[in-house]
Amino acid sequence: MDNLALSMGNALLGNPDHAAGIEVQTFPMRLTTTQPHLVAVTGAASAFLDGTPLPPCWVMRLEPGQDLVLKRPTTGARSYITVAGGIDVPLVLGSRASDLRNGLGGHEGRDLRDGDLLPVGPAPHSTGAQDFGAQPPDETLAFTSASDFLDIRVVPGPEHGVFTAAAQAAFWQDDWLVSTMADRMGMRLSGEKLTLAQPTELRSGGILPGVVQVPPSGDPLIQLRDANSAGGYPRLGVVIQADMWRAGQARPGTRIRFHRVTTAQAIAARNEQRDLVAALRRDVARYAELPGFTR
Amino acid sequence: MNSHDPVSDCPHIAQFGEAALVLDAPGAMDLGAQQRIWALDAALKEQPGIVETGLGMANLLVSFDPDLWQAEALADWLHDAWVRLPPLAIEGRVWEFPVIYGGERGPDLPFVATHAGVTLEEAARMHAARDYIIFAPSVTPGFGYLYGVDPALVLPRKKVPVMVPEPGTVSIGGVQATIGMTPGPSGWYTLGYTTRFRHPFDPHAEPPLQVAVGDRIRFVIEKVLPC
Repeated sequence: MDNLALSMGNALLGNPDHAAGIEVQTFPMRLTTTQPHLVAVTGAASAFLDGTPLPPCWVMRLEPGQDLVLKRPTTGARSYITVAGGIDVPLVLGSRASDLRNGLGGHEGRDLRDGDLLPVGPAPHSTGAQDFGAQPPDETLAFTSASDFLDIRVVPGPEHGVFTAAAQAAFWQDDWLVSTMADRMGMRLSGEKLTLAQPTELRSGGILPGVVQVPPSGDPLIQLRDANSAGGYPRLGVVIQADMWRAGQARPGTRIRFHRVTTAQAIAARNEQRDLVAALRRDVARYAELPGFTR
Repeated sequence: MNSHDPVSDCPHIAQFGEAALVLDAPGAMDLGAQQRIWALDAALKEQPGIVETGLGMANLLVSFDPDLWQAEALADWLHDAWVRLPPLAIEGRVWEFPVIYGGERGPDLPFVATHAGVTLEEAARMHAARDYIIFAPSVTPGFGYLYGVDPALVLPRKKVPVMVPEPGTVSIGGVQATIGMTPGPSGWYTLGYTTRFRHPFDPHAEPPLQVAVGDRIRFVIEKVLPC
C-alpha cells in the first residue's frame, strides 16, 4: 500500500527495490529472529526495540533474543519491516506479493499468524553499518499534507465531464471522509453524493490502482493496491502515482482533500519521488563507508 | 460497419492518470470491434515502453513508461495502428458446460423469460443456442467476459446487487455472460449452474489459466427446473 515506505526500507538496506517486506496493519506485532539480521522499519512510525522507541525510517541490527514490537501508530495506518536479503518466500506468477483475495503468493497466500517463521534471502554485501535512519518522506518531498488532512493529487479521469458541475465542484473542493469500508482493495469515501449529468452505462474495461470510481450510490471509491483489474463505473479521476503511498496510509476517519493537477505535474512528482529513493541509496552507500561504522 | 469511414472509425482515446491511456472502439460492441482491440493489444506487446495492457469489452487500457512515451505520441500511435492493423481473428478452443437452468440456483430465469416473452424452456434454449466468446479477462481468474447474449435476453443490470454464493453459477448481464468463480454480490441475472464446474486457473500449472481470450464457451441444457 505504502510503496514508498517499502522502497525506502529496501534502499536503507541495500536490497533490490523489488525485495519483499512485511506490511503491518494489525497492531501490536512482535518480531523475533533466530539469527542476527539487519532490519529496517519504515512507513507509519510504530517501532520499539526491547521497549525503546525507535525513530521513524530506522535501520537496526536485530539479534536473537531481542524483541521488535510495532505498536499502533498515532498517524498513518501501515508500517513496513524489511530485512537485508528480503523475505524469501517463493515466487508465484513472478511475484512474492500476497494476493489474499485469491489465496496466492506471499506466505501460504494468507495473512501472517502468530508463530509463523519466515525465510530470509542472502543479504547484500554489508559493511555492518546500523542504527541509522532516513528523514520521513513527508519532511522532504515538496508536496506535504497538512496535519489534519490527507492531501492527495488527482488527474481528472476519462468520465470527469460526465458528472454534473455541482458534483465536479464538490469533488475538488469538499473534504472527504474515509469510511469504514476501506481495505487493501479500495476505500469508499463519504461526503456529497456525486451524480452524473445523464445516466451512463459503461462497457467493462481495465482499471488501475488509484482510479476514483463513482458507483450508483454516489459515494466515490478509490481503488488501491489490490484494485480490481476491470470495472464499469464512471471514472471521475485518477490519483497520481506519487501519492498512492499517502492514500495507502489513510485509515477510516481520515479526512481527504483532493488537488487537481495536470499529467505533467504528476510526472514531475513521480520523478521527484524516484530521485528521493535513489538519493537515499547513494547516501546509505556513502554512509556505510565512513570510518567508524565498519565492524 | 463503418471501418473505412475515417470520421466514424475514430476510436476515443482518453488519459487515465499520468501513465496510461484508455482506448474505446467506435460503434457497437461486437466481435468485429473486439478483433481490432485484440490486434491492437498484440501489436502493443511488441512495443518498447508499454508496461501492461488491460483488455476490456471493446476497449483497451494501455499503461506506459512516461520516460519512454509521451501520452500524445502514444495516442497518435494508437490512432494510426487502429486504422492500419487488420482485425485479429483468434481460433480458440471450445469448452462445453452442461447446465441445470432455473430452480433454486437459477432464480432469475423466470424474470428473464418474462422479459423476453417466452417460456422458461425457451429462455434456456435461447441462452444455450449461442456460443459465447471470451472477449477479455475478468476481475478474478476465470472464464473472463463472455460475449454473445441473444438480444432478446439483454437486460440492464440490477440496481441492487444480490449475493451469488456458489461457483459455477451461469448468469447474464447486458450482452455479457459469465460463469461465476467466487461468491460475491452481483447485479447479473442468474439463470442456472453448470454441473461440470472446474476452476480453469491453477497458479502452478503452465499456463496457469486453461482458457484463453478467443475461446468459445458452449452451454448444453441438462435440465430446466420450474422456479
